[in-house]
Amino acid sequence: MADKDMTLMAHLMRRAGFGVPRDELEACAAKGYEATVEELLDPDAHGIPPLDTSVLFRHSPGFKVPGNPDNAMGYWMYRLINTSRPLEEKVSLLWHQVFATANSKVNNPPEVVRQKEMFREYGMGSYRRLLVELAKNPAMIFWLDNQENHKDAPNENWGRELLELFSMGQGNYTEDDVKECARAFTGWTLAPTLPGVLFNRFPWEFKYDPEDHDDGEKVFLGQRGRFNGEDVIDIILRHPATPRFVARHLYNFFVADEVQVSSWQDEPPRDPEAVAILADTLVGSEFDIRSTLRVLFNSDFFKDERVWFAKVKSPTELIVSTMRLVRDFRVYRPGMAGIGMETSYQGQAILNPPSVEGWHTGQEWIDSGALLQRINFVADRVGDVSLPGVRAIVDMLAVSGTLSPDELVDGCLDLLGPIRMADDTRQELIDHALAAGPIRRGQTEQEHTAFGARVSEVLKLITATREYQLE
Amino acid sequence: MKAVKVRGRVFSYSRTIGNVSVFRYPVDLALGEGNTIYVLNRGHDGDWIFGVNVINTDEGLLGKFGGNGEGDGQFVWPTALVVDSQGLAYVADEWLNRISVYDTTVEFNKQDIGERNFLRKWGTVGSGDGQINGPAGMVLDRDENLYITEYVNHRVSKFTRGGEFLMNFGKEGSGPGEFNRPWGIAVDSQGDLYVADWRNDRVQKFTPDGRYLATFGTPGAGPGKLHLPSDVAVDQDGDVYVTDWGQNKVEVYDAEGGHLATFYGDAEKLSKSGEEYLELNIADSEKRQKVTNFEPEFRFNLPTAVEVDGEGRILIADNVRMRIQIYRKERG
Repeated sequence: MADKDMTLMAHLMRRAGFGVPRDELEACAAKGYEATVEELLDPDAHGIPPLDTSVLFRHSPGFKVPGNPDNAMGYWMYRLINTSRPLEEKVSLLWHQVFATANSKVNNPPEVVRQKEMFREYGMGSYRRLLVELAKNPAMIFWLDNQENHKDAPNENWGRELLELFSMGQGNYTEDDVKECARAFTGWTLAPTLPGVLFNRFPWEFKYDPEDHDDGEKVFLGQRGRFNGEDVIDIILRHPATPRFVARHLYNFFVADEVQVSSWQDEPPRDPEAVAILADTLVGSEFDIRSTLRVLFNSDFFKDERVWFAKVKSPTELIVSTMRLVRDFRVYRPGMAGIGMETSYQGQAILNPPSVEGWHTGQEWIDSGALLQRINFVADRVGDVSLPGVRAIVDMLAVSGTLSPDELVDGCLDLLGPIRMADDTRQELIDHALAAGPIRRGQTEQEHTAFGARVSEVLKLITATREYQLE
Repeated sequence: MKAVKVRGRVFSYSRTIGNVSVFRYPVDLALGEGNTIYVLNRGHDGDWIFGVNVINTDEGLLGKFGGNGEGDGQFVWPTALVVDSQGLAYVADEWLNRISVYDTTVEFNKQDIGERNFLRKWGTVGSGDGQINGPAGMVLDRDENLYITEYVNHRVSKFTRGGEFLMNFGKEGSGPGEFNRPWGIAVDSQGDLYVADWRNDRVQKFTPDGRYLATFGTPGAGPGKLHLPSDVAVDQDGDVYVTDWGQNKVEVYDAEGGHLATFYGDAEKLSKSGEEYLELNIADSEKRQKVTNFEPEFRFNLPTAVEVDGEGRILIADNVRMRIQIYRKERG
């Protein structure tokens, strides 16, 4: 496979997953681009098993029904790092961003995790089904107070966010539509469930209470009827704003950073034509996300070199891609909850978004404090030559025996991505390598150790560059 | 659970002890003199404060020992606990690959004494004879030698209590006498061994020198079937109790492997400490009054260890529910 094709494959694996080490990248390349896309889209059809969590739960039963947020975060990070079905997890992460639900209010970590499992199960299927499941999801009901949405005292919180953030976007509905939407979801509530204090946590249950449902006539988005919640979702999906809004989310998450969602009403899409293609696919496929992603990953606008490295890695993407690269925590060991907490330190407390709007993404992931934390975290990992993934990079470079500074830097850039580096940055790295003298694998243990140290030093410098923060 | 009468035995639920304020992911149990129970708490990332509880069956706290860390007397991933006839407790740690020994005859005075009763440790990581990797289950035989299952080495090793290697048997596989990530182990009155062969969904029986004798349970769902069994115990009559970790139940077989009963967890009545908690926490008590279905609370969630005593009591460590459910067997 040509270098350009390999770089395109790396682009696909970063966006549809969390990047892959070189051996996995070569395996994908051997399969071919379209075949790899199909595996990512439909792992069941290709015999790729879901993650087996039994070993994790044997060693850390606290992850089975996490009693505190740290464990819930650690559990999900373990999944992200170890899954063989990365797009499934990536899509779950997308819907966590779009349908942001925080444990800070829900205060039931297993239910917040269960919501992500729902995203995993339905996230690549029908968007209609996803919205229905979301409306019935206990964590979401509690998060947006729908258990307080009564026939005689409607609460508009869920109804408003369903329209504003989950389907259509601002400017496409009226305040009356919000009220009528809320009425349609009265009676969609939670069954009284066991409080989780004495014997750990217990699952919450959705309950439809017909006695508390407002069955009266409603006028919603210009249509009249005695609508219930699913009727409202069907009307939303028929509105032209919805496919455009969902398509823009897909573009923003998988292709290139857009402005923040709150500005979408005023700012046109970065690539209107691409968003239109995705929106048309949504409509034509009855809002099937898998079909739409197939179009997206095979499109010219996705393969266009101008969108390579056009996204800032979210903290979760940075951490998970690094852990997968260095192959840490591939065998379970103590400390997983700490890796979950790392997302908080970098500004994306996973399972705990700051509000229902989710996190501000793109350039806003980076500030001086977050950048330092990001660089230090990654440098600590790629600087540890005892980690299998780092060792593998060192060993691959060692095959050449002796490396010039150019070859050392280019080799590291290649094996970390391939990463495209600005010329002046690359030259600085080469100058640094040059100052430290020639690099030879040598024959002795001491020379091997020195070789590994030189490689890891360059890896650390690369991961501190602007380019490594992008995907 | 209504009493189950089967082939001359009556199995019934007795009661529950402990809750989240007493235990933290209890992973193994050992029975001491009288009503004393030693409970080894696994803890979890960021919350390793629970060591070994020394309690009685009335939930009275007698003391605590051990703690988190890699120092002497501490543990990271504790898995198994036995107490010998002299009152010495042995705790296996599958991360540190060592056995730590404690004196339980000291005066606890209802206090957490940390590592003050620690005596010694032994264990060298590896796969050679006399080395261990991933110690998961332990049992003392009639001569008070220790059999240890090894999760990583897929075998059983036998040591003296002082750590002197005696023999080992088993290897990775799914055939008779082979293991896939074994966990709990028990010994019967004849000295024969029973190993919870976790990944192979079965319990295997061996002679004391490691000769394969029989298999209990078959893979699958439903009564009598096993999926990822974690522990095994054998009573005086030879009946075999298996915590079916992967399916949140306990299976009971007769000495020939015939299925007798299944326990799913029956903690309908709160533990004493649970009642005390609710008396002090009115808000939680009020929340419970709105609940219409308490059944999820009755049931096991990752039952991890089972022990039987000479009085027909069957104690089950209900790991994720942070309690011990006690059943009873009587003749009838």
